[in-house]
Amino acid sequence: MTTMQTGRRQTGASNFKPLVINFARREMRARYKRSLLGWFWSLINPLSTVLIYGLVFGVFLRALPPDLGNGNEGVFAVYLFNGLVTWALFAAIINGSMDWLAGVMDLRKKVFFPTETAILGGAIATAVQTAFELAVLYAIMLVLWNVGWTSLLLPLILVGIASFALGIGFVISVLNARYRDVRYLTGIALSLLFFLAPIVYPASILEGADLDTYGLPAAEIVAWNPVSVYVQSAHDVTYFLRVPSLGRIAVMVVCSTLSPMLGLAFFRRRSMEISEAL
Amino acid sequence: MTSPAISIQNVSKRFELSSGGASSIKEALVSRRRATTKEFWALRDVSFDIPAGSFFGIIGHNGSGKSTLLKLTAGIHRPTSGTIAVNGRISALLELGSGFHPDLTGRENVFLNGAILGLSQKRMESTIDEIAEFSGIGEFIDAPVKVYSSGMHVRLGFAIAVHVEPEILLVDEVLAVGDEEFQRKCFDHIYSLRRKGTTIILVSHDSNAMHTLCDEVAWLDHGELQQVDEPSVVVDAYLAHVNAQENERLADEPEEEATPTIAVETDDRRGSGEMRISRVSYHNETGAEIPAASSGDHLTIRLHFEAATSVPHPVFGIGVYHENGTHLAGPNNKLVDVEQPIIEAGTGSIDITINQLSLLPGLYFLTTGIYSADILHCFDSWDRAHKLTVQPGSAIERYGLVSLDTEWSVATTIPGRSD
Repeated sequence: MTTMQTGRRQTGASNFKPLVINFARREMRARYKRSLLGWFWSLINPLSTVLIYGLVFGVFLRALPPDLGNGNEGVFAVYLFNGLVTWALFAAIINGSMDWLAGVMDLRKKVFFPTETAILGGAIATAVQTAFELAVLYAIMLVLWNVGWTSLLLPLILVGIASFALGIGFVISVLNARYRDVRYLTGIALSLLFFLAPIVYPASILEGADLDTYGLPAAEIVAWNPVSVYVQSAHDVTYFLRVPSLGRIAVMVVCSTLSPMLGLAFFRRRSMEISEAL
Repeated sequence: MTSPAISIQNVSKRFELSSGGASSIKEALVSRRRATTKEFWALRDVSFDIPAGSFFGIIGHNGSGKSTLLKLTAGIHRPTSGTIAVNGRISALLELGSGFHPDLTGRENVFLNGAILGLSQKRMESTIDEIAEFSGIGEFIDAPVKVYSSGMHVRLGFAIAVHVEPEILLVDEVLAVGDEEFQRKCFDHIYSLRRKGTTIILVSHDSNAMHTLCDEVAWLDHGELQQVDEPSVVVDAYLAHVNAQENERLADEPEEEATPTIAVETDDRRGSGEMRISRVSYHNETGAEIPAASSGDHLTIRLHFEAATSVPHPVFGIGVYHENGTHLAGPNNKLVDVEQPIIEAGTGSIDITINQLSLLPGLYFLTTGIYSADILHCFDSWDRAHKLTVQPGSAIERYGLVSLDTEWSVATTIPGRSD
């Protein structure tokens, strides 16, 4: 018996796995439809980003990469790529969640289904893309012979940041359906977060540096930015080949569990309203 | 007694008409206190049960809340208050191409729709051919739905809805689209679903469909439940209500054709003007003036005229036109050998009595004319100036423009092969 009550619908035995899979498939197919190089773009995109940032920060600004975990001299592009893979997953899920929800609203006005399935499906499609990048990163690390057992922890960290992003995406997508400004605010917030994590610069440049000139506790901000915690942990396991500190692990566990739970609760409470907006 | 498939209890639904408040954060902050939202109650305290396995109709005029009720049942909206308990898997055909994503192909939409109902890709792959075949859209199954014609939309939508083996099927007057053959196919399929025990809920303002299909009908008016009963009882009450309302509206309408007393030559009025029609009125058998006629019932058409001078033996005539322009009849008093007297200057009227109006419900227009005794000279001819609304009445026939009042024999056969 499926009972629908004011403000709540218990879906009972209904099975929404096929729907999530359907949305994921569609997102993957739509992503590189009508492009000549198709799936190649999913590799060309991150690599071109690495080239551009590598040129600007590594060559122009001469950012010095830290040494690799195997003791060899660091390679800035590799350091950059390691962080970018982690960051890109986070940003793609948050930006995508707004489009994924908006993309099914018309459909949702005509037939009932839980709209969170569209966001889950989109997140899965994004994860597939990340898997490609991960494979490339592993290949590079193998070539540099900078591998260890901790390298195997990276997928776990990526799942963690995806889960963290998903919770934020649930909230942001619903708010964006209501207020159009949310998309722009999100863009600003994301670029701020990007530079508040050691992706295009090594975390070490903040240590002991004379940054307090402006009265900003820069090192602390970067250290406590949750995205930064994931990025640094990703560096830990694949670049430095060490286990992240307990503090970082604790932050990640808390963020990765609380965020989707709270986000989904908020989403479920608010998503019925937006489907009724005429 | 089986348990109901759908139990609707004290359901009310409120919509907010203005955009629902602020659309930007700035607006929300600035005008937080003045969210001037107009409310609209689409449904008010509606309660009834829909028995499992029944063919249930919901009737009402436009805006009565019947489609809203269906949307609540389908879970698209949720009630503002009250509960709707649904027992079974619902498949809904709510509007043209409902549940289709315009950029996806027909095939992809079939899978999407299946997934929405919780059916796996594998399960849908086993029925996709059947669905494509049933809808008859051929190779268009691999074209994006946005290029489909409205008929193809409905056919594919219907094909999906009935092939996912729903336990409850909601249909919102979409079956009117599509050609005769497809409609017949749909009804065949609906009947076979019904035999399998599917509960079917049909929303429509078509009283014929309600009569022929449903076991039980609920009538909604302005969001309030009026009646739930057998189709004939509810449909009759509904039609009586609709007729009464139309009469009220027609009576309120100001007389459009305020007659000019001087001869004004317009495109649709000509004649020398010695005699003119000033007004046309309609009356029932008791002589009372009525704003609209009823199909199959008595109708008296009264032509009011003014004569400027004495006119010898004029001939009065009318022309009856359907609103689509078809000329249906053109009686005059000379044809039936009734001679009019010499009409002196002044005003008067003449009655045309029809004992059983053979026009079927619809909108008609009357042309009025007054001619000289030899019909060579026109005093006044006013083309299609008078509206005649015909409402459902005692006429039994339904198709076409007129009722032929036929008698049928019982078929006889001679046993044997037909060659």
